[in-house]
Amino acid sequence: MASISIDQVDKVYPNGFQAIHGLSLEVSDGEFVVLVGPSGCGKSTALRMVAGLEQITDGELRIGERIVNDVEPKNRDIAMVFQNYALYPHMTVAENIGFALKLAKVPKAEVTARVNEAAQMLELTDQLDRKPSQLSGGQRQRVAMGRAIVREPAAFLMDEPLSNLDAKLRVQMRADISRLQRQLGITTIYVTHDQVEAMTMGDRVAVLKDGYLQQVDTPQHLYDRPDNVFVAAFIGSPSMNLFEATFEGSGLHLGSHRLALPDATLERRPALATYGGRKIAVGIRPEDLEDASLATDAAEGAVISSTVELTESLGSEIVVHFALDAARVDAGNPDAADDLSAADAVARFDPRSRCRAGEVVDIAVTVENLHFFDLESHAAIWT
Amino acid sequence: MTVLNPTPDAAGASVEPPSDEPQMDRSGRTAARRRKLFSYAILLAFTALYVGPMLMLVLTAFKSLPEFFKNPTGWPESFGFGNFVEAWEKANIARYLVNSVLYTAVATAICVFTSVLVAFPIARGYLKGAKYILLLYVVALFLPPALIPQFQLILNLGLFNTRTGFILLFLVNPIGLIILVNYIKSIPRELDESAAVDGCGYYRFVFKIVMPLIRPAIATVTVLHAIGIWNELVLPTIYLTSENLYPVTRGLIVFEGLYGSNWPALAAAVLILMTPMLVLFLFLQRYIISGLTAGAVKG
Repeated sequence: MASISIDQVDKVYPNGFQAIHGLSLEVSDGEFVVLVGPSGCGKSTALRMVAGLEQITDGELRIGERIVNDVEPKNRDIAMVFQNYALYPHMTVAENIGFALKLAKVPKAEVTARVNEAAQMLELTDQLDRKPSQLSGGQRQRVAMGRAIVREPAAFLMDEPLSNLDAKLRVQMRADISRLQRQLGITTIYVTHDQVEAMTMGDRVAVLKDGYLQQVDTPQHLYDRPDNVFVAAFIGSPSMNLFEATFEGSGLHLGSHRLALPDATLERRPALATYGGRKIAVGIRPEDLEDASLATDAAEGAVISSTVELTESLGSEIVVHFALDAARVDAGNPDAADDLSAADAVARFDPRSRCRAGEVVDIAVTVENLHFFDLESHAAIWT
Repeated sequence: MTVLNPTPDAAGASVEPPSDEPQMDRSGRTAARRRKLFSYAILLAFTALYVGPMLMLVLTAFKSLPEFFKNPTGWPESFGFGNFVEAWEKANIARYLVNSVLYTAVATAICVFTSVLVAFPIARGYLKGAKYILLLYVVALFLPPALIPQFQLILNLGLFNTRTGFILLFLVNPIGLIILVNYIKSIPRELDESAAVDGCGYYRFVFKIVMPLIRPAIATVTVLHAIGIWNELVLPTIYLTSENLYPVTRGLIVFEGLYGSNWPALAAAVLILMTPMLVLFLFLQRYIISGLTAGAVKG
């Protein structure tokens, strides 16, 4: 096992396109770090550079104590799991799992023992003589994992290994991979575009956009204290509601609504005082909006009225879409099919709420949890 | 509605649809049957076009020469193997067969092996200007055979009338290379990368991973190339003058007379000649279709 250190790494392709801009990331020994971001953000490129499948244009990459910028992939002591599993179709499961060991000239008996051990761990013992075409998607994914495990590498690199699975299997495999990684304690870098995967699996999550690292933190901290509008909108489902608002003294003008801000909020964000009379971006998590008739602790001046456009009952909650007469803020996520002209906000109401589409409802806002961002730089406003 | 005054027929149809429906159904079925019959007639005509000459070849092989002249297209009076025995002996097939097998096997093996080694880096773009190299092969498909320069080359190399010189003529097959390139493109690139991470070297990857995966394309190229060499008649006539180097096709000339040919014996010899390639084709047939259609649809 080893740590991975990415220091000011750039990737420029021969056509001049720069995929990665000065990426710096430290992955400690045994840590599970998830690289997440929308399509084309450079997360797979970053992982492939760690694997040695892409040349590093500038910067330094260390695995353990070794600088590996110019080291061949096979000599980096890493194992990689690919999106489409990359299993050899003409080999059996056992041959696939043991292929790297065979290449490393490991004695036959040891290869068999290690393959059997990995198969047992992944519940593949009965499938060892089968070809990949005879396996289900989940089993193929486990074979790909087995191929990585059996080598006992210094680090696992996983490039969207669950994206070819159906939703239910993905949830199960997510837990399996996390459990396995903790059990083996092998340093892991995991790439995904799915923020739920990132939040549930990673010890830390690194959010990328357009080749720039936006923020790297623990999942909860990333959720609670996003550094900018992009991270705020990208992490969390449904996404954070982001609207333009005018900050005035102790309150906010959000469209035609006025929200009073408690002193504690202003004290926690002293920099907010400098925005007096100016427009800022305000972020409201859907769970910080509740049907006012059910919110017994709703603060005074923290209720807005709006017309419900659509309700989606999920059993444990109701997702409510409602109109808000404030301009929306573009978070810059290329994957989001947002129509900015439709000023639609989303709330997660308690399932006991009786609100219906077309009705005007009072919505209580948990103002203590509001997020504030500079409208131009999109950076969070804190100190 | 734009139709304000429907025609009496249309109005009738709208009033009494049940009475007309079976009639329309019947006429529709008849039209479909007619179309089907027409398709079968065309298919039958094409089948006759391909099978006819083959049938005539087989029938001729079982006729005597006078019988052939009397009734060239008819059924033979008896099915004897006299022509086959005559063809075997007169065309020296036993002796020339060894040469044909040698030329075909060696040239095909070398051609397929080297083609895979060339096709893989071209397909993957691991070579600079790979697409231009492929373009050269495509252009080569449309060029006329360079008979005179090729002859000069073989002559100057001192390989005229030698087995090596003759085999050298068949070491490149542009269409085979194009088939291989297209098939290799259908293999996910992640396999290359996974193998690189696993510690698999370039040549080991080509031989252990790529070759087993492109078996259909290899079978296709093998059959196409082997048939081409096996049936070649012009090149052995030009490049081989010693009788002990002749391939089987060269032996067939013996049946060409000054004033006429011994067609039944020639037909028997042709049937003998085509048997090995037919066996090879049948043996590799199950791979060939997928080799030829690779990349046609998303797999």
